[in-house]
Amino acid sequence: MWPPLIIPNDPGGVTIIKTLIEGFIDGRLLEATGASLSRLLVGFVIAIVLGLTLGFLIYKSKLVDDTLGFFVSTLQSIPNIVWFPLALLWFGLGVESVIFIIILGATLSITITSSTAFKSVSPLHIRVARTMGSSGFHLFRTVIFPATIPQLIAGMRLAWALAWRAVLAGELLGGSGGLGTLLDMGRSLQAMDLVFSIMIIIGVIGTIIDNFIFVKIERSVYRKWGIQSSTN
Amino acid sequence: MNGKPIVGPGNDRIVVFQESGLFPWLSVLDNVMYGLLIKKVPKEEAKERAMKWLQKVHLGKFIHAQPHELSGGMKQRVAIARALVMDPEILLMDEPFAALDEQTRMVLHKELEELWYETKKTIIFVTHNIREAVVLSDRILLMKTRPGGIKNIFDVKAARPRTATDSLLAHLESRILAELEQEMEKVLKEEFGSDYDLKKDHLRSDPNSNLGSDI
Repeated sequence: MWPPLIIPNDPGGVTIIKTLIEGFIDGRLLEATGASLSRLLVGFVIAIVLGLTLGFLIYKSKLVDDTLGFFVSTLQSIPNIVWFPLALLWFGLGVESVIFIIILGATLSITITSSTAFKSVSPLHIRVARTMGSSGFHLFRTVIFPATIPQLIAGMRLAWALAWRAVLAGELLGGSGGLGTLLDMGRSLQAMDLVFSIMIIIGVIGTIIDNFIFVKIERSVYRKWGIQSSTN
Repeated sequence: MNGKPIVGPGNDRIVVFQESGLFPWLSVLDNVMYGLLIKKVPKEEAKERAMKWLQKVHLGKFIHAQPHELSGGMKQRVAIARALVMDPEILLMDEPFAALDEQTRMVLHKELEELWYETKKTIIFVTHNIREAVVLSDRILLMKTRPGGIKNIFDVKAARPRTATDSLLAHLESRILAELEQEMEKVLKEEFGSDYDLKKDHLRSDPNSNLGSDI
């Protein structure tokens, strides 16, 4: 059931740590990790741009809000992985289908968080900016967008988590390389040590990115704004 | 204003709000420079003007602070600096000191009077505090309610700089209060019932009747 972690069952047998180290040395695990992360990054960046643009349009125009906004919230209720068969039919078994899934999931999430964030900017700040002569896009660029940065960061953190899940699920089912495919290979070879090693890597990467990147950015913005977090 | 009807906000009449409305994502200096940059003033000049006005409100040491590090009184001083740096024709102040404690308010009254001496700006100051109105202004417009409009205009002919113990101010204050009570009774009668009276056991009488005591 459980492969041993450090000390092998029989001499020369497999352990999780041994597989991890060997995997890194011969480059297999590193290559797979790099592949997964690079797809994630590409999809995520595109999703941010698309999501913020859509969020801005929904905030700006009531017409867009009623039509596109409704559409977005409907699409968002479909789990990412349900899109996968459609993606395979459209894009085949390659990287494109995985990136498509990432963009779909992350964009919808960012659109919703950003449009509600833009709508909830304090009217006092808007009034102050208007009385100084600001309006239109200048108002958006200098007041509304900066005012929503804490909420946007939280939204991006969420979208990142969704995207990470989408990458792994897509690679698992689609076999296009990366950590998910390796995981599937481990399953088919009945190599429990490989499966566990990959799960450890997935957990570690997720923790590092969430804790060291997003939480750091959040903390520095909160400190600048003077928002008290509950642990202070 | 100046012969043209006013239809919306514009930067020749700047408002100081009750909550200072400073942008938390900008430093104090950037906040004060915000309006100047909209007017396309070059950045160096905008910075100089902003620093000059921040020094005039005695916040020269705090130009690089973030707004959350300031007290309420300091935030309002930044808001005043931000308004005056734009050199508006009229300064509109909407109960700017209402959220501050009494001592801070006294200090800010003095500072406002100094700034007014120096800049000679027209200031329209909205307040519910009769004492504040009487201590600060040259002219007081008492507004009436239901229907709205101007009830009375008082010219304050006290010496400047104003001292709090001036008897002329105290007398004016009680005159204004007497008139204001009539408006208050109107509103309270609607809320509490038409037999409500502000002063209990009050004989309704004409405030101008004096039973011949002026002979």
